[in-house]
Parts: sequence; structure tokens; C-alpha cells
Amino acid sequence: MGYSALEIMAVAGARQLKDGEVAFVGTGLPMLSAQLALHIHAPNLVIMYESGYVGCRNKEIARLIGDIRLMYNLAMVATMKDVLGFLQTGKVDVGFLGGAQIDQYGNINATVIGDYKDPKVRLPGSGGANDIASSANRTIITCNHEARRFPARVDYITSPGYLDGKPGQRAKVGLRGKGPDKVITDLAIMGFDESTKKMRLESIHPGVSLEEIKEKTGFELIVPEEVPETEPPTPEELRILREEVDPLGFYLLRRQR
Amino acid sequence: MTQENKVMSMKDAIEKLVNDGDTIYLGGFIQGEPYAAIHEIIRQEKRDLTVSKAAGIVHIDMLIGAGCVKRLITSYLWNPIPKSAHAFRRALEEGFPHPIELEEYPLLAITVAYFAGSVGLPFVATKTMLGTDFVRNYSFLGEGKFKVIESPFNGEKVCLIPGLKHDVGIIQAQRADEFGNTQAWGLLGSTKYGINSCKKIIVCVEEIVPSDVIKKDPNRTLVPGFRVDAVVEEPWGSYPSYVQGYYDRDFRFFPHYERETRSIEDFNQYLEEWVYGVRDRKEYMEKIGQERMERLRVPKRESVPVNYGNYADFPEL
Repeated sequence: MGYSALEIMAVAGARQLKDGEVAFVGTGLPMLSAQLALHIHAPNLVIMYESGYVGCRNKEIARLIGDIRLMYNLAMVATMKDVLGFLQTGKVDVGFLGGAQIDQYGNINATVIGDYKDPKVRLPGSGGANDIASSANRTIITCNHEARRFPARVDYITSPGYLDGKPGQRAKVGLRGKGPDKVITDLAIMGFDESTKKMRLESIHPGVSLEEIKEKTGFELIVPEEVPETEPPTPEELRILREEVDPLGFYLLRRQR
Repeated sequence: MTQENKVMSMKDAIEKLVNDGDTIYLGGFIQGEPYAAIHEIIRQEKRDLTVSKAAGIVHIDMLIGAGCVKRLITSYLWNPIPKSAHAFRRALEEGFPHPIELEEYPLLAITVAYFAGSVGLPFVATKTMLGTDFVRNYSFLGEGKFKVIESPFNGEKVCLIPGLKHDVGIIQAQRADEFGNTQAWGLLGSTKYGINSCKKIIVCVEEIVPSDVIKKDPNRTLVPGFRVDAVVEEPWGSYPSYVQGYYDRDFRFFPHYERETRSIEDFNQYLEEWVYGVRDRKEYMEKIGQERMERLRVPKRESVPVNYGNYADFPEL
């Protein structure tokens, strides 16, 4: 069964979420993954958004984190202070974020390309991404795999990864969350090396070559001797994604246009 | 207790309560963004405002492009389709129509800064921003933006953020009585803290209701009347955003705005047509059209009433 790059990303993201976990979800692709996980293997996933929706069981896919559709069948509307509280008291297992730019230590830039004071391109800024990356117990990051999106150093650290990569650096500056766990792109899944905290290739999506990945990564990725292929989406995962999660193609069709 | 009727028109409320140079808080997060009030601020050509908003969508972009904003405090500004907020980018990249100064906090951190402002605290301690460029860049708040310290209690690193306070705050909510007791439900974001950190308050509501309606359900009150200076009855005041129970967000609006504001000329033309070219919100919604409005109106889904208990007839113990 054929599938798009976006579909394998959504499925790979969903598989990272375990049943019964508390997930703090960012806008876009992470929403698809969370909704898919809920339908397939994680019916007890607690989904929350920075907008304040907690315990989402919406019928229609939300179009943004503040979407009124998330109010349907909902357990709680929290204030933003309450949801920050869930993060800072360690109640959130996993933060799931998108990124404009990500470096070898998993730091995310969503603020500026070029000099902060004299920007070449101004981007939206953090929203809740910094709060989530600071305090969720672990984070999953999703991003399209292009050299300009994977520089050795980001122009601005909006959301903390492993910072400069020195051992214990996150704890040293006072961050409570453990940091980035996985990076999911349209080409591969990556993790981070235990000791150096540098990004390490974990699996390559079917049909993608290692050369392409290296070419589209702006820093030296750690490549283990044996890199398995990412398990492709199953027909059942694709069916649920297309027919139940996003039947109107709000996300699935948009990126392909 | 005698109470003052605070009902006035949008035009009067903005004229009377918003001054050039003010620091102004705008409420709402997706729901309840005060678009009608923002259009009126643009029409009255208010200048040199410091605008404070938890996260900005195109309403802040409009204010910037119209030349009303000198300084901005926020966590985010974009067109959520998602595409660039063009006026915001022009101001920061090209200094057009004039340079603006931007002070950024992450969304949940700005929320507790509002909270500190609303409870009269000089600062609040958070566990965000640490280690990132948020604690390396200052704008107009200078050293007053944050301070990283070790907690005097256990040595843990924390980021202190000063409480944010504002001259005037504006929110769009579901309902209020004529004395300003204002109720809202649905997504409330950080509005409760933001609005209660303001010296003067303008509440815009979908409808004005008898006080009795408010008093039957006081848990839903966001701002008490004694804190409010103006009550504006402004149906569809959050359009193209939404108000829970009244109307949905107009998803067609945002791509349209994005396309129509890519150049300076187009942006100015857009304001001429949709802001300067209409007298008020009523005329604006007539221009949007009945058909669109009917599509966005939401069918009823009521909650189960709660039992407050009738203590009026309760015998004294």
C-alpha cells in the first residue's frame, strides 16, 4: 500500500506515544500522530494543548490548538497557568513539537533566521514550545529533513534541547525535563547519543538512502554500523489515519499540494 | 450599593479609555480575540501603543501594519493557516511602517507574568526560558525582562519574570450585565490574569443580560463589575475568530487576509476596504454578509445546570 512522507511521519510519531501516557501536543503533524495513537494503540492517552484543552477526545481533527472542535467530548478547559502547572510539576510524560530549525543537540529555533536584532527572516516565536521543551519528561520533535533546517547550530535557541551538549547541561541550567528523545523527519528517525548528546540515526524510511540523509543534514550525524529500515505504516494504520483521523484531508492533503 | 450603568458604544469606549502611548492588554486566545475593538483603535488612529497579548494572530498584525504599535510583548505572532503575518515581518525585517520593539516570553511564562500582575506581585518564579536565547536577549524591558537566580530556599535555578501590568485591557466575552459583571466560558487562556492586571477595563460582549442571569451562576464570572469601566454590546465582536456557543471561526478569512496583505499597497487597500471604509462592527458584518454569518452560527448544546442550593430559605443554625 502506498503512502506519503507525511503519512509515515504521522505513523512513526503515533508509535512513540504509549497507552496511558500524558502527552502535551503542538500544532500540525503532532496533532495527527496523537489522534492516530488514540485510535490505534493508546486509547487511554491523555492529550493536552497549550490552549488549555485537557483530556481531548474530539471527533473531528482540530485545525489549530485553539480550535473549538476540541471542546467536543472534553474533560477540562484549563487556564494556561494550569497547563504550565502540569508541565512544571512533572505530570507530562511527553511533549510533541514541530520545528523550523533543529541542531545536532536537539535545540529548536522557531524565532528568527539571521541576527536576532536584525532578522533576515522573522519567524512566529515560541508560543508554548519553550515551556513544553523545558519541562516535559521527554520530547519528540518532528521536522522536514532539509540541510537548512538541520544546521550545526541554530540561529536562536527558542526551545531547549541538550543546549551545548555538555554532560548534565540541562539540569545545570535548571531545566526539569530530560530533553529530546526522538526526531522524526520525512527521511528517518533519529535519537541522541547517551554520552555526547549528539543526534544519532536510528532508522531510515523505506526507499530513502543514507547518502540523501547525510546530504540533507547540515552537521555530522552519528551513523551506527547497522541502521534498520523504519517499519512502514501498516494498511490498518493508513486506513485509520485517512478514514477516521483526517477524512477531509485537512493535513494529509495540504502538504502534498 | 448603588451601581453605575457602564454601557457605551465601542467608539466612545475607545475614545474615552485608550490614549496614545498606553500599554494595552488584549484578551483572548483564538477564542474571544477582540477584533471589533482593534478595528476601532485603528480607525481612531491611536499611536505609540505598547500592546501586550499572550499570543498574536492577524489582529495584532493589523494593528502593527496600521502604525498603532510602538512596542509589543507576546510569545508568538503568525497567521495560523500557517503563513507569515506580513505586517509583523515588514516591521521587524524592514522597519515598515516604522520599527517596533518586541519583547518575547514563552506562552506559558507570559501567563504567569500576567498572573503576578493580577495579584500585585513584583515577579514570579518559573522553570521556563532557562538555558535558551530567551535569557540572552533584551529589548525595551532591559534588565527588567527576567533574572535567573538560585532559589533562596533550595538553591534550584529559577527564572524570575516581573509581573506585567497595563493601563487598559480589552476583552471580548459572551455576556455581561450593564454594571460590567462579565462572564465567559470555553477557552479562556490567560485572559483572567491579563485583564485583572489592568488599571482600566473595557469589556465587549456578545450580549448584555439582566444581572439576575449573572448572579445565578457567579462561578462563571471572569471580571467583577467594580473593576470595569466600559461595557460594549458588540455581537460578532470576535469575528473572524470565535465565541463559544455563538459562532465558529471563519477559516476562509485567514488565507484571504494572507493573500490580500502581501505588499504594503495591498495591506493599505485592505484596511481602506475593511476597517476605515466601515463605520462600525454592524456595518462590517453587513459587508461580510448574512450568508456567511448563518454558516458560522452554532446550534445549541447546553450544559447541565449545577445546583447552587437555595440558601435564602435556609434556617439559621
